[in-house]
Amino acid sequence: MLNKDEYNQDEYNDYYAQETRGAEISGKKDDSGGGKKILFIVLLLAVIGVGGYFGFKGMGSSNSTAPKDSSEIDSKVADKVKDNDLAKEESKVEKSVTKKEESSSEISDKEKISKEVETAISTDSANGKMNPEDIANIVQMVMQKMNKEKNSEDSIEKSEPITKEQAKDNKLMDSLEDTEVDSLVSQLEKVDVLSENDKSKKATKSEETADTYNKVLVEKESTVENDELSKLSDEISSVIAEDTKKDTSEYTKGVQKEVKARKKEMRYITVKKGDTLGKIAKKVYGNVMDYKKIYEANPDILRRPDRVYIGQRLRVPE
Amino acid sequence: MKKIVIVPLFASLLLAQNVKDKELTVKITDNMPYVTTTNSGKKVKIQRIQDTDNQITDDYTKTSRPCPPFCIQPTKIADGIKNIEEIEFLTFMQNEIPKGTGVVIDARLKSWFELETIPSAINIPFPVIQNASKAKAKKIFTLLGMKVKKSGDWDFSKAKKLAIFCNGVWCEQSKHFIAGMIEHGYPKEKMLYYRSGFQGWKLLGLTTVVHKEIKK
Repeated sequence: MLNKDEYNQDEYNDYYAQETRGAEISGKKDDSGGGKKILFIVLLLAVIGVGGYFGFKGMGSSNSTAPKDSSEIDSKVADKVKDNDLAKEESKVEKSVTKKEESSSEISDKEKISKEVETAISTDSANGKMNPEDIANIVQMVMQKMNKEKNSEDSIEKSEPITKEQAKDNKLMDSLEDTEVDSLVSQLEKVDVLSENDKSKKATKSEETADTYNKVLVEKESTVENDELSKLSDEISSVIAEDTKKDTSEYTKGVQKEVKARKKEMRYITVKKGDTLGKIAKKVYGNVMDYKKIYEANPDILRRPDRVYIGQRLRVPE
Repeated sequence: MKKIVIVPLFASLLLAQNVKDKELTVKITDNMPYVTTTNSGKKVKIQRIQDTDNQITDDYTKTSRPCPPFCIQPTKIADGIKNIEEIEFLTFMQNEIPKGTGVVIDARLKSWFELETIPSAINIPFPVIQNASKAKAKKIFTLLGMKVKKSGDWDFSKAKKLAIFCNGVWCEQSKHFIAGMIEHGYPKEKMLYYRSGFQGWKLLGLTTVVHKEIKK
C-alpha cells in the first residue's frame, strides 16, 4: 500500500533520469549553439576583413583620377568634407532649383512653381532654419517641376548633369584647398619610370625590405640571376682575388684592427623560444648580469629588459 | 557582440590604410622621398629611417679612433678630384648606374665592405689599386670601361665615372685609392669623392646593405 508521503522510487528514478538526460541534451544544444556562434563571428570577421581590405583598395583606385591624396589629407579633412557634404547637398538643390527657374521662366506654370520654391527657400533661409516639413515640401515641388520639365524641355535635363558636375568639381576644389597638392607624386612617378628604364631591373625580382636599422641583407645566392652591376662586381672581385700576397703597410694594418672591432660591434643574435635577456647574456658573456649590455645596445628594439620576443635580432657587443 | 564586430572592422581599416601608398615621414629631400637602386641583382630602396626618435646606436657612433691611422681628411683629397655629397651621390646613383656610365666604389677593405655598405657599391679595396701592377690595373680599368687602342694606349673616353667613398672624414682609404688610380692614369674628371663617407651615410639613417652577417 502506498502512503501519501511515500513516493514511488521507480517513478522518481525515471523522472530524475529524464530530467538529467534533458539537461544533458539541452547542455549539448547550448554547446553547439556556442560553437555556431563562434563560427558565425569568425566568418563575419573574415567577411569584414576582406570587405574592408578590398573596399579600401577600391576606394583608393576610384580616387586615382584625382591627385593622389597625401597623408596631409588626414582624417580631419575627411571629416570636414563629410560635414560639408550635407550643406553642399542642400546648396546643390538650391542651385539646381534656381537654374531651372531661370531656364523655365518663359513658361508661366513653371514660373509659379519655381517662385513658390524660391520664396519658400528665402523665407526659410531668412529664419536660418529649415523644418523637415519645409524641406519635404520643397523637394516635392522640385519633383513636380522636374516631372513637368522632363516632358517639355530637354535643355533643362542637360543643365542638371552640368550642375552636378560643377558641384563635384567644387567639392574637389574645396577639398584641394584644404590640403596641399602633393607635388611629390610626379617625382615619385619619375623615380619609378627611372627604375623601369633601368636595364638591370630585369634581373631584380624581389625588393628587399630593410630591418630596424635600415639595413638590407643581400647575401648572395648563386641562383639569383645577375644584372650588369653585380656581374661587374663579381668580375672585379675575381680580379682582386688573384692577389695572394697581403698588404703589409702600416696603414692597412691599423685599418684592419678597426675592422675587427667593428665585426665585434656588429654581432647579433636572434631570440628563440624560451630566451630571456639573462639567458642570452649567460650564453654570450657567461654572466646573467651582463643582460644590461645587451639591453643598452638595443635601445631601439628593447623597451623593457624583461620583454624579448621570438625572432628579434639583438646586438650583442663584445 | 558589437565590440567583437567593431574591433576587427577597425583593424581591417587600419590594415587597408597600410596597404595604401604610405607617404614617408622622413624623406631624403622634399622632392626626393627615396631612391631605388640595385645590389647583387636585387632591387634596393634607399630611404631614411622613418622613426623620428631613432638615434645612432651601434656602429659609427665612435668619436675617437687613434690617429694615425684614422686622421681627419682635408676637403681636397687630391688635385682635380671633385667632391660630392649625399644629394649628388644619390643623383649619380639614379642617373649614371642604370645607364652603365658610372659605378659607386667602396674603397675600404673587403671585410669592411662585407659587413655593411652603401647599396649598389662595388668593392675595390684601396691596397689592390695601390699595389697593382700595370697588367692588373689594365684588367680592372678594362672592366670599368676603358678601351685599349691598337697602338696600345689606354682610351678612357668610355670609362665609367666613379663615386668613391670610404668610412668618412676620418678615413683615408679613399685617398689611397684615388692616389693609386691617378698613378695608373685613370682620368681625374671621372672620379668623384664622397667625403662624408659611410659614417655620413649612416648619420642620415640611409639604407645600407649587408653582404655577410656576423652571427653569434
